[in-house]
Amino acid sequence: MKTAVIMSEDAAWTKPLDVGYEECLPKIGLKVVDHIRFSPDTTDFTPIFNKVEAAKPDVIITGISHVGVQPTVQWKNQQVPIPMFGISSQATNETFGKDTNDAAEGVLYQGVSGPNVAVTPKSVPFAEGFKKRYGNYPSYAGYTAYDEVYYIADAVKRAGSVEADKVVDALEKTDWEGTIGRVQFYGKDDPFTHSIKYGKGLITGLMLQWQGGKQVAVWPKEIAKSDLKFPSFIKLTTN
Amino acid sequence: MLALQILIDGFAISALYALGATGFTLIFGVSGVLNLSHGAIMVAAAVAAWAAASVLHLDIYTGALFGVGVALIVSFATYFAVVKPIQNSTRIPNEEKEIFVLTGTLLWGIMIQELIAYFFTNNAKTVLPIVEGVVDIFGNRTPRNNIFTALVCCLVIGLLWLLVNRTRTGKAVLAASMNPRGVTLLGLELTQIYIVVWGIYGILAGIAGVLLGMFLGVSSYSVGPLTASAFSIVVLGGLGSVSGSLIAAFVVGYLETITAYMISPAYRTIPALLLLVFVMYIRPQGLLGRR
Repeated sequence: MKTAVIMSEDAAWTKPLDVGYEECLPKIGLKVVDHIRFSPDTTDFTPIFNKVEAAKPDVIITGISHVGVQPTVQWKNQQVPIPMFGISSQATNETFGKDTNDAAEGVLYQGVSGPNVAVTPKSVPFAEGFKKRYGNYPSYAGYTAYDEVYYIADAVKRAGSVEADKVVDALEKTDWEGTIGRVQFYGKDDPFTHSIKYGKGLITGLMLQWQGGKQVAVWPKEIAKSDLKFPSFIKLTTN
Repeated sequence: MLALQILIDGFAISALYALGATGFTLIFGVSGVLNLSHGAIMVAAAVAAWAAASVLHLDIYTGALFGVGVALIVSFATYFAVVKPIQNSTRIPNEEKEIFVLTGTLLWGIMIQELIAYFFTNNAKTVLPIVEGVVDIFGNRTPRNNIFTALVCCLVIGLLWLLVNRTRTGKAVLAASMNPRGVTLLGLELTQIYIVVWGIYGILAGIAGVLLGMFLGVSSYSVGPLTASAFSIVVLGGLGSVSGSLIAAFVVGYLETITAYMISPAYRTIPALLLLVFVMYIRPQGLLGRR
């Protein structure tokens, strides 16, 4: 793969994301041939996909959250021959398959954890417990919120107080294995003040793909359950 | 090439807008009711069709019929539970009834929206298209479903025209829209005509909703924008004028498509709204409005 089109909804959260995409995609050898930002209340994606196709990219890099079901279904109905890869918040929810009538097939999305994926020993029991209680596996927010409750409680315990400054001090020293990995934070003098630390042994995130109506982990290798699989209308340029 | 693409894509969406707005304008023309629960009824139809297939495991056709049936029921419920009690009330002064109907249907629409969100979440739902696959039209890959959508919309609008102009019931409806008093003097029960119109409206909104679910997908968030879009199309075309709404639907549909292609998908709806404001300035009754 050599070329990519960035397709993001026009929202505050995608602004830094798109800057990151623009900066990092060329580093892995993907030339950004077009960058489309569309209104989050878009319902007809035909013009957008036609514009994407006209740029002839090898992959569509998504930054979508407010929308998800609609572009995915139209991608399938219009048989847009280009794979979609990136952030697609709605695809992290198990109900996405049914909501799209399985048009989700082949969609690649970034997740923090997923069904049947043992990111840590806590991941699977939590996902199963969630499903038992609510009927479906959690979306990304389910995992992160679950962890947050525990490491905040842990910080309060270590601080021995609920006073803000003391809790912040304790939170800065967080080293908590949650459902999404090992959570640590950058200190207050770091350029990424108080951001979660990413990297091997901490949180790597993972890539999942919709395959056979299920969310299947495909990266990183240690936890991958399957190779990439695409519906027949997708024309892959290279492997 | 781009022109052809705009022509094809714009047609399907415009036809769908036209079908959605036709029922809305019909109700206003005949009974003077601006039904602000319109979007909710369309969404109810689409979500019902989705649920019939995904939850009850019915086939596509039964699912689509189920969706239209639900719209019909909700339409009658709107009339009997919201509109009729306000119209018949002796405690609401006549000159305030219009505003009561507006508020009542708006709240009713919000109630339906919240019910859908409660039971089916506010995630978007899509109805499995009756025809799948794509065809090549002079190098433009077009989903068969878009063509199907456009055809069904034109067919239904055509049938409506026949119904209104060529049948006794239709003529009574037409007469009621022109002169309600005259119709009652001829011995026709106005309430009967209203029930017929709300029935036709329910079917139209139901078909439009199910087709929208197949074509673009809907969520409970679509309720407001759908009502607003039908409202602006109908105002642009002239309140109560079916042919005006049809023209306005195509103007809005194509203006949006052209904007999305030529300027940016982010500004899709803006030119159509500016046009609406402009038309309101120079021709407040709309393109083909009578009043």
